[in-house]
Amino acid sequence: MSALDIFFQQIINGLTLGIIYAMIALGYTMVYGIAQLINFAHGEIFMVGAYLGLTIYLAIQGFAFGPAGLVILVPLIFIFTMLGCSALGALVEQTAYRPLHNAPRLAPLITAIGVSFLLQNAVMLLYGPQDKYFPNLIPIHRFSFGAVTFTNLQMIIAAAALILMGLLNLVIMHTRTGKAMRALAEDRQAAYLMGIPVNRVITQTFVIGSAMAGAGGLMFGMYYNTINFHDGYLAGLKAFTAAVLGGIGNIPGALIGGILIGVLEGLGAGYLSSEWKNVFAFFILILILLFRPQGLLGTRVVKKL
Amino acid sequence: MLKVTGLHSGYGKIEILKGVKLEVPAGKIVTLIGSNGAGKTTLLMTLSGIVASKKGSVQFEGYSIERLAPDAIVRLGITQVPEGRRVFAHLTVEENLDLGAYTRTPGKELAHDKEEFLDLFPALRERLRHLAGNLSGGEQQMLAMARALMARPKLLLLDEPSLGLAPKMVDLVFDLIQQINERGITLLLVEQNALRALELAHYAYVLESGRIQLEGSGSELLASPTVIEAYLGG
Ligand SMILES: Nc1ncnc2c1ncn2[C@@H]1O[C@H](COP(=O)(O)OP(=O)(O)O)[C@@H](O)[C@H]1O
Ligand SMILES: [Mg+2]
Repeated sequence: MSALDIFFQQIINGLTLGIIYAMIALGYTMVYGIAQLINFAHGEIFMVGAYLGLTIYLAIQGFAFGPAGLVILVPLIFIFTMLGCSALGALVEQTAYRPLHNAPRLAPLITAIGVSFLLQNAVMLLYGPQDKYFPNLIPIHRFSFGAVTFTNLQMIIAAAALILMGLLNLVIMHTRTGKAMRALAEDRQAAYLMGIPVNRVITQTFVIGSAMAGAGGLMFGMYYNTINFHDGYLAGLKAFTAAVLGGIGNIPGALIGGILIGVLEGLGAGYLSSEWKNVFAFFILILILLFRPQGLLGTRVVKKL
Repeated sequence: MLKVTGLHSGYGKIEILKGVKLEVPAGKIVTLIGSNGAGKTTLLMTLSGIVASKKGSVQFEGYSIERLAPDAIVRLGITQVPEGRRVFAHLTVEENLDLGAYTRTPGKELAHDKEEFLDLFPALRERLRHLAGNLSGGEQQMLAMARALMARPKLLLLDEPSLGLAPKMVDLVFDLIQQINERGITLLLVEQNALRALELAHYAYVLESGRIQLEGSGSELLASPTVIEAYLGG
């Protein structure tokens, strides 16, 4: 492969990865922008999404859908995974964060670490500590342009992400709840004065963010074919970096940040060494925190996707 | 309509209101004046449920509301136009209005109200799709008032609506306050512009250091030597 081929190949791989990071980063950024809270257990919701997707697949694969059935099967798995993760996100918010509403800023962070351990260990006990095989939900086709290849799965992941982000944009820009979320992000007291039930809107934010992370987890499983109960930790940290890079609280920023981190990681793995790929994200995080803590786009949640 | 007795509240350990007693009869304009830092904003925020009350009672149409959450208070019929307007700057004028009606079910009646308030505040009609943050100070005040009215409050709390506005805008704001009251909405008005506010008031209170120092009809307070000296520039 020529250097240029490697470049394009890694851009494609990095984009796929970046889309998955973006799916997680959206939840970090929404929860921060709207609830002023960093939900460090968010990466675990993503990991649970991967396991939940696998479980749902194993439960319904026996119904012999056939090739045409895949068109129904895959969206169904997405929907149920997202619903499950939403419920989990709401539960985490209500049990771990809600009681700490008026506590010092550090308290919810510590709770988040506890929730992370709890979810990791629960998954480990249920599914075992070893890597779990995630079968191909769809037959994989490769498309080649010279030495550069991509798969139908990568296109499906991109399309699913596009649809979900489009829906998210619709909810945030055009629904009553979305308006309330943006109002809350701007001025919580004023939102209260308008009669907006702030606690409920915060729960809704967790619900939506967790659904996106769950879908991201499912994409991750489909893409790598192996999942592990540890996966949420690294992916969560990278997605958090993506959110900070884009400007924490800023929704389009999370998307751009996720894709940038994914592409940089892809290029780093391609040119340097894949063992170092995890270091890039954290190197970037340190650089942003030092030189541009407000992120690339600034910290605002209300801009359009 | 609103009856406040022995109300204490503040921030953390700092007590700002030290036993406030005040009444707002239905259909009236009641004005509250007092120097900077007297606790006027704290009182309105306590009534709205944003600042927690520590002692005392707030009765609204017979309900005790001093423990209710802010959204429940709006649902009961008390809405506030906060000091500094606090419109949602990055949302459009129309979105701000829609949020004002958050507690109501969308429908014909709501759409009708929106039209009615846009007639009352015609400057907003031309700017429905503009971001609220791009409006002038006066227009933002109009928006803050229209937004609060969208909730169809029985009692409207207004915190320094004329603050920082050009003289012509001040006239307009006081004119609108009168019009809102004529529509049957009861008003509790906090103002720095004591002269204008007292002229408008059916009844008025003076708050100092967290306590009511003086009360009477608008004209009584306008004639009071204490008020003339402290709030009307001697
Ligand atoms: N969020 C707050 N935290 C602590 N103290 C506050 C807060 N808001 C206001 N105060 C204090 O409460 C007192 C009364 O303020 P405020 O109610 O805003 O007065 P007014 O509206 O009459 O000017 C002031 O001494 C002010 O410094
Ligand atoms: Mg004030």
